[in-house]
Amino acid sequence: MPKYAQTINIEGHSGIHTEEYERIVFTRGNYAAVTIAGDYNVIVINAGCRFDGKFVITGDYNKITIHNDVNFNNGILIGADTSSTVGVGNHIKCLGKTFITKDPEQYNDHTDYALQINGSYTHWEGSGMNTKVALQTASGKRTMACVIGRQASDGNAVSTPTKYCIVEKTNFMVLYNGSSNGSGKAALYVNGGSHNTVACGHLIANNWFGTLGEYDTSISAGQDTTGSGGMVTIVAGTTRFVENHIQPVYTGGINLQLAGNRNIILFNHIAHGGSYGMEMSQDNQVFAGNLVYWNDAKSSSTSSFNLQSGVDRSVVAANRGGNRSSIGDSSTNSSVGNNELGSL
Amino acid sequence: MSDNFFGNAPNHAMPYDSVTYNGGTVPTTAGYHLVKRGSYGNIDFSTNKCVVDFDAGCTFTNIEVSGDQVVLNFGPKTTLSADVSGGTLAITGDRNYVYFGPDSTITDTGSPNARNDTPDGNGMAISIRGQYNTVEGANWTVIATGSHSAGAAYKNDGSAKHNTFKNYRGRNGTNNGSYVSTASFHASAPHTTFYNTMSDYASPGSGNTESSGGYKHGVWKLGPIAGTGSASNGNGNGYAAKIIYGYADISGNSPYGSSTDLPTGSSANNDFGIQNYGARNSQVIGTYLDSDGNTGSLGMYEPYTLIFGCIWDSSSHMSQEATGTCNASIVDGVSNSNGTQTNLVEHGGNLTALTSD
Repeated sequence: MPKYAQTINIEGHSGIHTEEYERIVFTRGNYAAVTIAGDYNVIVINAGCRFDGKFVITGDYNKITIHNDVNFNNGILIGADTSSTVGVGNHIKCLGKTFITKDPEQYNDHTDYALQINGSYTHWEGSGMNTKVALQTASGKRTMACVIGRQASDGNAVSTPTKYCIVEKTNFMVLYNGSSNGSGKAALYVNGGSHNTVACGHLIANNWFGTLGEYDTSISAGQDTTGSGGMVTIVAGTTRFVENHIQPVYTGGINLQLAGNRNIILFNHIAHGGSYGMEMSQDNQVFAGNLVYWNDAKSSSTSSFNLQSGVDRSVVAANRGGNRSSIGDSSTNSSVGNNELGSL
Repeated sequence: MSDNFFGNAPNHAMPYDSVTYNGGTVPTTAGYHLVKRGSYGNIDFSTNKCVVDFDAGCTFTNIEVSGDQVVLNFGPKTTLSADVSGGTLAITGDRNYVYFGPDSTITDTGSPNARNDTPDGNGMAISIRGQYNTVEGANWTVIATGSHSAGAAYKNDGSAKHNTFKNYRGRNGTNNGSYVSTASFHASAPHTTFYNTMSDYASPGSGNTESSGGYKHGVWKLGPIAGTGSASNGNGNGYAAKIIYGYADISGNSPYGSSTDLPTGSSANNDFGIQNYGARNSQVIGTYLDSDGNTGSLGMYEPYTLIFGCIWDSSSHMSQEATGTCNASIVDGVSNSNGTQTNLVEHGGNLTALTSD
């Protein structure tokens, strides 16, 4: 009998799906671990689905549409943990309220992620503030809400860089679990290792990083990003990071760490925390048209943005920064100017 | 209701008005339709408010969208391939939206028109000649290839405007080009936007001749789709065009090789990353070009243009007119002191080298 979809996912039907060129519907209900291993499928995840096992996409070129009120409670892996050539070219699109997290009881990896994007050409498209990728910190664990091109097994970058991803319209955050658990936390960490000299070509646009005060009016109770590194760290080269919003880091850490070559950073709203709002450590980057400001609880003793001494031939211009009336610039051959600084 | 529309479970009903299987006729009426995997030839979506979901793996020759408010939601691995005048995908209506799933290809196999031919030319993968339309790819695994253009907005009478191309890769055919106007993308109608479009094509190649070759090649051409070189002639222009978050790889290790493959011996022989002859009030924002030292000019040869937040790894200089503005960008150098130029880094070839790019 003809039917519009090969519906093999009725509640409770989890496991590995190897179909190709199919239209697959996940009907409303609870699921354990699911792996999409086939290629070229059109997959619809209906409203009200809940995945208590890990959702893994190892197939290539699937279009996955996630309807309203869907929870992924044990994380999503797009690709394979140590490869950028598995799970390539998938487009995942959220239409409504979507929540992605990982249960702290499942923190078995060296480093834990809620959303791990390792396959090149992945397009992750949230629905706006209603798509939340959140991870709670834990003692002795590195916790990152989202990574591109990084391994959970050892916390390092994949050996062959993940390239050409789009990540947009999503709220990423790391949540406080009641204790300060030190460094090793990030809302987003993009590639790593030597990938700073590789043209990775990602577009990261229109996202929100941080709790934005939603969970508690006391920032320190809502969000834990203590420590160095960066709430958002970009190592990949030629990444375009644009039109994002980064919320204050109360207890420390850099809000935006630019550690790749030839990155373009435009039109972001970056609230300043315990250390620099933006720190640049690699060459030939453009940082322009951004607003970087202190939150009210901080002093004006630290610059809103800082260029490290090894930085060469970069541009930091046409930004608004505060509260300090100067920025840190130890770079060479750079153009740093036309930035309005001081109290906001 | 028929079980046809509801599959084998009771709670995932979808309100399709029709389902078409391989060998059937794709509906073009107003309504919400589903088309299963199959081969369907050429289609004209001429009726307004026709909405179609396609399964993966559908193949077509050419498609025209002459109606308004049509939504075509193509699945992964969609294939369009034809040799047709005016675009393998041609959108001639208004307010239409076309999406291509991952790993789709849109190819025009035709030879481009010669220098003075009509603008409804051959060799265009995607052309838009209406208003307020959007063509969007899933990501850069969606590849449009045309010997003249992989994406063009234009119309002779100037009525086309406010069209958007988004999230896909464009290429020209090898050893094929149309004189003066071969480019991966053409903004030849007012208010054309290219958002996160990518080209990894260097140039049309060395096999071109003057009559059908590419003496000039651009990744993004702002200005007339064809013609003899007049900046804003009857073939339309790209007034207020916008290239935003674009990405070009014209390096020697791009799939088609080095941009030095252009024919030699003519002063008109030139390669451009941005070639703006005819599009005043246009802008290039947040766009990256990787050339590995090949020529790929950043040329805004019209009034009232803006370049902001770009990185141009090219051996060629940035050029703009007296009313142009270029801010916060990294370029090889500037050709003159025209207009406003602030916070530019002139690298002179001294960029930190990338690997495996």
